Amino acid sequence: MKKSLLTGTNAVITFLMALLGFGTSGCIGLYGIPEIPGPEEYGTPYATFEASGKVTDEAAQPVENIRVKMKTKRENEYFLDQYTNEDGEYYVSLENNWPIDSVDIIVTDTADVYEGDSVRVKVDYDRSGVSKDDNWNNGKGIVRHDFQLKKK
Amino acid sequence: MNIRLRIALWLERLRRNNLKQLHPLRQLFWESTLRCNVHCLHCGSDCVASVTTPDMPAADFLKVLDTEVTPHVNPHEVLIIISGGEPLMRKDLADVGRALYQRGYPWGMVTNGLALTEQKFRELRQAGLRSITVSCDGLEADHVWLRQHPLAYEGATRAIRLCAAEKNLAWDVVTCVNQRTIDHLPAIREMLWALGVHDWRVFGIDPMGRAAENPELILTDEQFRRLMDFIVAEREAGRHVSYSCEGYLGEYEGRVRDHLYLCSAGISVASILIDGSISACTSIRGKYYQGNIYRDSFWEVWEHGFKPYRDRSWMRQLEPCKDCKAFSFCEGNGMHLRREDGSLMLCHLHRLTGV
Repeated sequence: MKKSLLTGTNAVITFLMALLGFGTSGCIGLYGIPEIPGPEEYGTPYATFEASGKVTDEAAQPVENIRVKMKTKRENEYFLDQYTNEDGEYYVSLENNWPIDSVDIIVTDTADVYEGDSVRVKVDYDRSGVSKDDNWNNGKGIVRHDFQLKKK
Repeated sequence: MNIRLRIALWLERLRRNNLKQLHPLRQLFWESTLRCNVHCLHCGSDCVASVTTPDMPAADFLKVLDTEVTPHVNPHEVLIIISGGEPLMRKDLADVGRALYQRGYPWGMVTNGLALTEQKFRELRQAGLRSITVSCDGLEADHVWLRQHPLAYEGATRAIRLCAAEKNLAWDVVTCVNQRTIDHLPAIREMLWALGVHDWRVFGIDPMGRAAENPELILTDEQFRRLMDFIVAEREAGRHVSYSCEGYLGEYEGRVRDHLYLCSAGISVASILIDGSISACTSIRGKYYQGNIYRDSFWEVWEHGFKPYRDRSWMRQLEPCKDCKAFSFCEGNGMHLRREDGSLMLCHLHRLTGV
């Protein structure tokens, strides 16, 4: 009860001071968090990431069972390691992921018929549909890259 | 003093008294290491401990959080500030940050930037780093001189560029103004703004630590007034430049900071120092330590200790506060400016008014 009264009183004082043109805060080592929630938010940036593409041969025909691996520029571990389907396609979708700046995509043919290939792709983010208040959400990053492989 | 400011100061006094009763913990400093990669002429840490002091094990700090803090607070509302020394000297900084983040605490740090490579920055961001302050004390020659390291400027400006290019990061630059740099403030501001800075805090250097032995570092009263006038002019020009949190500034209140003066030490700010001591801001003298995490319950200390911080009437008994008419607004200046014997190192109001 006493705590609520003091907190309420301080909220009124803060409002009155704002009317007078003065802010309130404490000693701010970095960015102070006043007793009334301000614009500071807890969290880290996140985004949805989606990558897809198609692997074809020199005659533009889909190639199945090509190994597609994907990693970020800074990480050594691959977050994608899959084989193309019968239409030669690969696809990955990650939710609530740390925003990726760019990805390395490496394709190899484990049957050793086609030559491998690799590419680094920059990821652009689309924030349409994200609330203006949701500052941590970087939106959706989409990568689309097709490969055309030569026979060995 | 105009009536609008006078009313605001009285309201702030009421708010401060309420805050003392509430004493909501909002910022917790952790002096994680005393090791540092520069040897600043103005370092305040030197006066309390040697750099041979071992780092506090992260497990000791996290144990206090888990057993003494988390049960009593909403972690999202308590900012953990990892300080030093230089926090980046700790190899486990990202691990500690991640552990804080997983517990729901926002965390930040103050750095000289020298060891902040892009890879380290990315690692820390992914560990939940959401707030950072970079120290940059002037143009290259003056910064290198104060920091006593040939690559200090390169490190600081690299860190600033990394922050400027980052979205969703609360960051700013702090500058310790001294007699060498007071005349270069416009040039320093131009340099910082060119690097992408939008929030700049300027400090004077207080006569403590190594700075106490180097008068060249401490502004004269006339230079201090010029510093205030510079900040006022910058703010009027629409640039977010602020004076540090310390010191009641009389007529300058409300003109050089976003808020009126309040020393939050022991009211909403606590710290755990390298040896486990429980204090408020990390530069406060040993006499005012309130306990030790290796001996006492942190939360018991926070709830029932900190009496010299929350009742500052004892400062009223001492010069120069004894007959000062501004005491009700100032309450004896910042706790970090009190010597072991209780006397005041520096009165900001005196510097500005000469009385």
